[in-house]
Amino acid sequence: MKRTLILAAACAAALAASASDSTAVAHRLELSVRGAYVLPTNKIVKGGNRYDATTRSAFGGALEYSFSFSPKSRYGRYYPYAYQGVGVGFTAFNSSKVTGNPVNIYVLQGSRIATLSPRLTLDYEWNFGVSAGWHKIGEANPFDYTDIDGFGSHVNAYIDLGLKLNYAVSNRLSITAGVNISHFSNGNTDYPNPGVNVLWGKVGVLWTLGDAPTLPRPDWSDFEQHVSYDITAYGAWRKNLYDSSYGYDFLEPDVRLIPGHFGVGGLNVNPMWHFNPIFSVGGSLDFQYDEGANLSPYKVPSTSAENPKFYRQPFSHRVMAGVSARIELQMPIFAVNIGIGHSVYAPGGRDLRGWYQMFTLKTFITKNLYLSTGYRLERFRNPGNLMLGAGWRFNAR
Amino acid sequence: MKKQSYLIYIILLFLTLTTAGCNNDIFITPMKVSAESVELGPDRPTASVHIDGDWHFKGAEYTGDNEYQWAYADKDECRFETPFLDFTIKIHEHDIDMTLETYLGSAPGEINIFVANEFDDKIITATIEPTGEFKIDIKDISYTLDRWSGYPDQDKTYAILVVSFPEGPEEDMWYSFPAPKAMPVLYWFESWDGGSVFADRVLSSGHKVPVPSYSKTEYYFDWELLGDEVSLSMRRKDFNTTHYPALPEPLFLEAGVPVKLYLRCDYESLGFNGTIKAENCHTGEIKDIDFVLHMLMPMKFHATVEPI
Repeated sequence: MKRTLILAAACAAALAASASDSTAVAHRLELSVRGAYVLPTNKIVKGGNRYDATTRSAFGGALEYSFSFSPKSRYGRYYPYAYQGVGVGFTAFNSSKVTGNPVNIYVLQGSRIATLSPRLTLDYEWNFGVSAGWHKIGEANPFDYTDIDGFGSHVNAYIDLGLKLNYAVSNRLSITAGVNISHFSNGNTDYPNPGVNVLWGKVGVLWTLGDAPTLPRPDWSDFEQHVSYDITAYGAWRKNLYDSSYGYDFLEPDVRLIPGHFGVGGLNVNPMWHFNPIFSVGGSLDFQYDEGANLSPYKVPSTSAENPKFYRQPFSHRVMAGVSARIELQMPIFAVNIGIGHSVYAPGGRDLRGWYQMFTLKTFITKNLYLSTGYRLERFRNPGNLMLGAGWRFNAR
Repeated sequence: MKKQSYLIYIILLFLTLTTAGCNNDIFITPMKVSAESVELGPDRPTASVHIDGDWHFKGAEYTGDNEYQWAYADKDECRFETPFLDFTIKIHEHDIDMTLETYLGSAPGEINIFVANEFDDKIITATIEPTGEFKIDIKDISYTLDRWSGYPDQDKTYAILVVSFPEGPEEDMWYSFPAPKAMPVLYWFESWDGGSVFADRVLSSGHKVPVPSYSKTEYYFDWELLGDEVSLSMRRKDFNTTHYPALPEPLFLEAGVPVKLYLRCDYESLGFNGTIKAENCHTGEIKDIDFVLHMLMPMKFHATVEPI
């Protein structure tokens, strides 16, 4: 499901490019190899698994295709050094018995941060896609770190952010070198999902086709500051936990996984002030429905803790409304929206109350219509849910 | 129109993704009953209880006057039919209908209906008020009078009359106690048909029946039906009888000697077997009920003179 959606986003990006008001002129191919240090940020990679295997390192490679818009186009004038495209890569971990050796398919976007010399630039790039081929946990208890033999799912989301130096050997050939940080996670759709974080060092060769950009600076002369209104609807599925000791004050909390997956859906109403073509800020009214929220009080007493059944909780216990502050960085086709918010209406209990954080990638199919792919974090560290949906931007300029 | 189409696609996508994760297997519909207690009686012969969720009928139990019965459903109906109760439970998909035809108990009875599903169970209690009086007709009663049981450990002696002469009689005299108008007799009926509610109800019905009386023969005594009647009762009651043993011979009293005179009576605990033929007026059934009549009967007077 996740892989399909990400591929759809990639295709949408390609369609959006072809639907823009000009013809892309610069095509690029980049081949890179990379070596990584796996950050010890979860118990599984630190050796908390059936094999006592620690995951410390990885190596990989990637092939990326990207393009940039014509300087005559609006995208080309606003974002002259931006490039976007798709990539495919692989990651081989030193303890593949636990992790597997996944293949990554992703969309990418990057641009220049600074020109250090006529041939040398400092660029950034982000990747977002799927990573398939992880070793999925078998019959092991996902909460027993001596029994775990894999991760929650075969397919995880792949998020990458990097800085790289680009040295132009010639008009068409460049050598790149940089550092990246990657995050692999299934977005709490299965357990265990501790998240794997990798710090890469990579070198590559970049072949540019077509004309290189000629404008040294962006041209925002025809941009008017304005307010837009983004309405985003999303859905997803997630795992939920419950406390089997709920109601027994004399017992310690006994948090367990509820079998199956639960549906999640939401709506964001996000007005934003666009300062310039890249940066905008705003607030958002957020609504979320979580089918599996606040279930602890509704466990059927006669069912076991290992195989529980629940009575359906009241609707008000499954919904929340909140407000969040948002910032958005917009580039051609894609926009990255980051928000921090707090619930203002969550009568059902702790599950939907409190601080939440949202990270969303918008892929604009048209000026107004976009696909939305995001993740919601709870209380700055607790896994929340994916947000897969679409939206409409009113008063888009 | 194009904008509206896109919005519709967005909403459909949102609904599809949300419902794709729906975890219907984990949820069960709670079994809810609209009432856990109802009352039925002559003014309210029917009642109905609505049940939501998955459920099935496990059975019902009836507790009434000396009665207890358990019943399972036969297809969609469960019925209690006893000498005193006619009660029907109809089982529908989400309702239980109760009908009280008759209940002839002396006090409210109770019917507990047990419903359950895989995860929960509930009891619906129906309190039933009597709809009328239990009607029986005593056709005949007979006793075995040529043999009877004795319970010597239950024999008693009572002082019937005490006469005092604190100064003594003025002159020597023979004193005869006056004959009592009647003597009390304690009685109760006991059924040989243990557990039979009909038998118990007959023997408790209060119908008047003749009982054996003391009869003096030339040489000893006998038992005969001489007209004494009592109300049928399984609880201890008493009646007065004019059929009692002869009083003792007169006592000689010396003049001027202070004395007290006592007339005492020895009561014996006896048991007479008998049979009652009774008809259940509601069903027309006639039944022979074997019983034992317990009596604490005056059997012998004796008089004594005791100096003061």
